[in-house]
Amino acid sequence: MAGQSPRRQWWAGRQMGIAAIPPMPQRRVGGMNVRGDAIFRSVLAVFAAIILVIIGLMLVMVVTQSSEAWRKFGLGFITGTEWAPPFSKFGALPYIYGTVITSVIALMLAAPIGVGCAVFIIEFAPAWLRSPVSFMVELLAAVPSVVFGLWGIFVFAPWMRNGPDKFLVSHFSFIPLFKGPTFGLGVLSAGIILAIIIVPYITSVTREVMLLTPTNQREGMLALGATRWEVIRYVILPFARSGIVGGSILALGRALGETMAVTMIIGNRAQIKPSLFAQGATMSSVIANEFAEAATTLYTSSLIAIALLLLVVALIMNVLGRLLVWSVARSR
Amino acid sequence: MASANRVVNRRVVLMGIAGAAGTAILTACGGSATSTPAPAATAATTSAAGAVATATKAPAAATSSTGATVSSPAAATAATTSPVAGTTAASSAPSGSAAVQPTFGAIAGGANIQLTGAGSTFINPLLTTWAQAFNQSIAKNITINYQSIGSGGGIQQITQKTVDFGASDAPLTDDQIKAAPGILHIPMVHGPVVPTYNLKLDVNKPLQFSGQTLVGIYFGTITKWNDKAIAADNPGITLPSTDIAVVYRSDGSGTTSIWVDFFSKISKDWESKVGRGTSVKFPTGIGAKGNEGVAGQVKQVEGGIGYVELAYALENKLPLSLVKNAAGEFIPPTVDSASKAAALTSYPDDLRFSITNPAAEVKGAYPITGTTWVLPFTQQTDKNKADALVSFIRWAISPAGDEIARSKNYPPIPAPLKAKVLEKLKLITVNGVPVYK
Repeated sequence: MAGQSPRRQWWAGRQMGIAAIPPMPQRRVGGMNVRGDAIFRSVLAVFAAIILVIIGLMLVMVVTQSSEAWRKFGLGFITGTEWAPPFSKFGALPYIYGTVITSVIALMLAAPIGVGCAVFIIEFAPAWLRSPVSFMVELLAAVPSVVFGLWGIFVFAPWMRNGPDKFLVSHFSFIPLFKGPTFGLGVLSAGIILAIIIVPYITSVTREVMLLTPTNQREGMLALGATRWEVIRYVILPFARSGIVGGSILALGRALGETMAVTMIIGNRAQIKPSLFAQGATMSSVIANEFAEAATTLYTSSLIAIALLLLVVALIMNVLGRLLVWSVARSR
Repeated sequence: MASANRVVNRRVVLMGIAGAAGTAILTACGGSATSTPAPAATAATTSAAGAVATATKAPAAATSSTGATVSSPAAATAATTSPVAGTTAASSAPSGSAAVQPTFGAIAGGANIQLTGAGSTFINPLLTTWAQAFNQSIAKNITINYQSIGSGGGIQQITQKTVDFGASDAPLTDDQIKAAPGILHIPMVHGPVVPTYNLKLDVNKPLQFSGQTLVGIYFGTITKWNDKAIAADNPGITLPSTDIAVVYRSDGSGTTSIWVDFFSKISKDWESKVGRGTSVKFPTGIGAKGNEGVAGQVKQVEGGIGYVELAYALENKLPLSLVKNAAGEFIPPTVDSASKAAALTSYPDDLRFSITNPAAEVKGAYPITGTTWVLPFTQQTDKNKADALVSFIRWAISPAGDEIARSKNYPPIPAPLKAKVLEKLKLITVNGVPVYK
């Protein structure tokens, strides 16, 4: 870090929101300012408290409103595979499965692409291309997911059905993962759409962390005769490792909660099938689909119980991610 | 440096949690983001032309027994208090109705009255157009603010009395009525659900299905288009051996509820294994969101079949099939054939009825049709609002209202049912005094 140019260091720090990088002005602090500080501090404390209160209220609401479902089904709600509203049978497992499998597919596809894109922007892109590419990546993050959904229905799903799906089914259908029939709408398509949605998150965070790579290390490697690839492999990637994991966790959170695009693409069948072409359903999609017309209190309560489960699953995935970050940081 | 990284990671992790949780809870609280087509402002022409069409085709039994008894006291009142005349005439006597210019009850002069309603998304385009036309042509001081939040939400809101009326594609269950004592079911309009398909055929002729064939397709027991059940329904058409791709509505919807109600009536198996409701566990197929999702999916997959609302299908010129009714006729889905399905020989007293697969005596009826009810309470507190509500309902089922409904491809309720509705409106009271006599 010491060898980095002050300007670059300041810029990178600013990008990460670390306020301490530019030296604080060494001004004499008068009585007025002390009081001002106290007011300022309490205002900020209120802001922070608002976040906590909102999360707390959400939790209270979700827990109390879902209590009827938990009383009726107990843990069987989580392990149940049957979701049949007319008979008041509610089991959430197919939705949990759908959420996890689509998010995992999305992350597996988006992580290499996102990181690769970040490396390109940092290391290879000519200066004139750097900001347009960064800008486009951030623009991708701003596209509403319903637009991805519509594009998915009318362009992407037909293309999948007639292209990749057909190819995989005709050549690899001996693997259960690639068993037909295929309609273009299904778990795989939903995972890919999700991957497109989350790539910008991974790229942005990874790029910011890569910018912090100490210049002396990079230059040292190059001075020793290392190739571009070796610099990336042995300096930049190890340095950015925690950033990559962090970005992926952020992206995973987005993937777990994504509703509209997935609902439009996944085919909405509450089932657990090994094939990637099979239709599925996610926790957020069933809530979006059925909440407005849920007639009985048990039905509503079950949907809110799914919201609670989604919270828990998101929490578990994030905790796992954090553990990963810690283990990565320790191994360095 | 390490500390800087940790700060980043913590920030990232928290955002991850908040992102996922936030989405879930917002969806849970706010319901789904449903897109509803913006209604075109149709100018109301208050000519009485459309009235006769529905009235004439009604079965003789209904008009003579129930229709006559109901309408005669109303007609007697009409002679003394002129405002009532129009609707009564339109609903019961096709012969003399055209001359009378209907007015719709006393509305407090000048005072601005705002009615709020919530519920069914199906009726939204029509209700909004009705409200605009009513405001422009009948009562400038009455505005109606309708939120199309779904039938379930509408029932909830009227039960809690946060709106002046609810609207639902399904009648209230007994439990729901217990929670909302004194609620009225006012049928306003019908909603046919039609099968649409995508299949290349040699002949330019719509396919036709019997109910049992449709049940077989949706059960997954009929999987090829050249299945002998489909062939038997369509003599003279050579069917390809294409796989059938079944599409259903993934979002909870009155459309699904009408579709599976029809299935449940003609198949005990369907009733016991899949059941009725706005969302059911379909034995086979792909779930697509909304009419547009179903239509889009059917359009894209050769061999696809799905179901959509009639109005949506007609506006988008989708290929429609005929469906066999209990009388054994294959009936094309139209505004008129759907209205006929509601011309039952008798109605339950609370007007909670289902008109899917009507009895064989109801001729020419398209069998997969539902009803949208407006749900007000009988005991109102605000005289102006009660007046406005009753006037609006009476106007909406008058010839002028019918004409607007037809122009938007909604089947109006048939004449015998109109008589019943007017009778029900008399139950609406303010401090024990009926609003409409």
